[in-house]
Amino acid sequence: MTTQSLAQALEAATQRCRQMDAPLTKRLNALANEVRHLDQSFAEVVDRMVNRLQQIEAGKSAPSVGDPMPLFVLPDETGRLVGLAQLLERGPVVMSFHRGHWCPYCRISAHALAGIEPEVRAAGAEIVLITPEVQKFTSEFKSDARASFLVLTDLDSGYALELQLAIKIEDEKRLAMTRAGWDISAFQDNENWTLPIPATFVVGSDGSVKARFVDPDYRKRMDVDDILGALRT
Amino acid sequence: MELHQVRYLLAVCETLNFTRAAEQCHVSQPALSRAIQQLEAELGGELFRRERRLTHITDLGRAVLPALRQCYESSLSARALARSYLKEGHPPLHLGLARSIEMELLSPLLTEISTAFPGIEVRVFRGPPVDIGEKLKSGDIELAIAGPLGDEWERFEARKLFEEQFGALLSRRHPLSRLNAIQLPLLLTERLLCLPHCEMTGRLTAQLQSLGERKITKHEAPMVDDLLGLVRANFGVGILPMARRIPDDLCIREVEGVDLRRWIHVFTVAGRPRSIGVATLVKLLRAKDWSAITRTEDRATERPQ
Repeated sequence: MTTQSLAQALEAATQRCRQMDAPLTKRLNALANEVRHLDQSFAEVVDRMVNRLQQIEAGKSAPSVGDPMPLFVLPDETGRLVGLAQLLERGPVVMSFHRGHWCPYCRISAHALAGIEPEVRAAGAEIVLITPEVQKFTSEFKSDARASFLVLTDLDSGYALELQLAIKIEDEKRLAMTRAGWDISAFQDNENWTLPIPATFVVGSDGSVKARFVDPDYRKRMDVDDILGALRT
Repeated sequence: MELHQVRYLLAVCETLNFTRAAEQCHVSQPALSRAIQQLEAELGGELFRRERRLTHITDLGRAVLPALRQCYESSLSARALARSYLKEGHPPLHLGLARSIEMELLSPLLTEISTAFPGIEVRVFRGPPVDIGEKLKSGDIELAIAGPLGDEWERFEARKLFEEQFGALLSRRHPLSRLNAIQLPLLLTERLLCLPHCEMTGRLTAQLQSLGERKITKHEAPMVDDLLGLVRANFGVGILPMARRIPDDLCIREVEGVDLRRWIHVFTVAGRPRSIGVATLVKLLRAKDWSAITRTEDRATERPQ
């Protein structure tokens, strides 16, 4: 019997969950159930990590509604530098931190975000994704999501740390991820094993946070309907 | 992790003293201790053994320190870039480049730099690896893009960018240009033309000598343009990176029977303050997708025949 890594085993499930006719939360839950079904011990490692992050309230100090969003200047998937201040001159910005192109939850989330791009544009706003990955993988991530939004590289998770969103993956999770087929070092051009807590901010043209979603449980993401709701108010 | 927690951690690592670290960070000692404890809760273990004068870092602390330091420094440079973006008054960039590196490879990145920092000057030094190494040490250049420097100085920080493969540069009128790849012995009777101190030509001649040829004729040309001209004038076979863009009347062929590949790195010096221009260029170099350059065959087929 050839042993398949969890990453490979999840490929079909990821495609299936992406296409589900259900709210994003349900699609993500469906994937989480697949993970539990395929690899119970991996799911338990995830639960332990998430519990610890919840206990210390990781991400709690990230910018809140009403706070000014710290500015960034980061390269997009083609290497062009993109500044938040310049984006805001054109309208509100939906900024969403993702872990990377390898993460099935991120792929489902990015695909859902690509699905609402026309409505976001119609509201005069723009979506940008931020990951700690280098351009080879931000461009893969973008094309996999069939998105036209920019995917920015936050190398070494520096901007994520500024927003209090960087976490260091501890050894247990690192080994579980490596075994599952997700060795992120090559994607990030470092050996750091840091990742952002997935988070989404709707930033108004005035540069302040209009809505935010931060959850140290990376299986949960801001529902795209909530993003559209925040843009309409 | 929170930014201030990492900052406090780095201060304790430096001072090995919670009181002094707190002073250095302008916070009370209980506040600093609390922040370190929160970080310890997140990382799942103690980062320091607290023993007054014998306070020391634990194995876990030592293990996580490089990652946290890099993340913190990246955060500082990200903030500095956001603050100084599109503003003038940046110090010049002093770059060192191996002679084989095509400026065109860097021009998209330098375009970003010149837009981000209006009016910034770039000064480029080209030379052999040993000179690049010396200039990095002395601070005459802050960043270098080159193959191995031949110097194991522990403060050089090297990050892999892409692999460069050298081949034989030929005029299309040269009989060897009709071959897709050139077997090493076919070069025994050729005169070699290379850039000064070319490490790859060194490898090639050593390999040729091992085939029994004692006398290998080798000429150095100071600049790539000179090499092209000499090859065109039939003075010999040039040794150049295969990914290099060259005029249509010339071609570069793979040489079989010797390994002519080397990794190009970006070099900086650890522990030196870095201008935001240099920090940004390093990040752009690392983030760039170099795979198109590494796949030399693809580049070769793109070239009009």
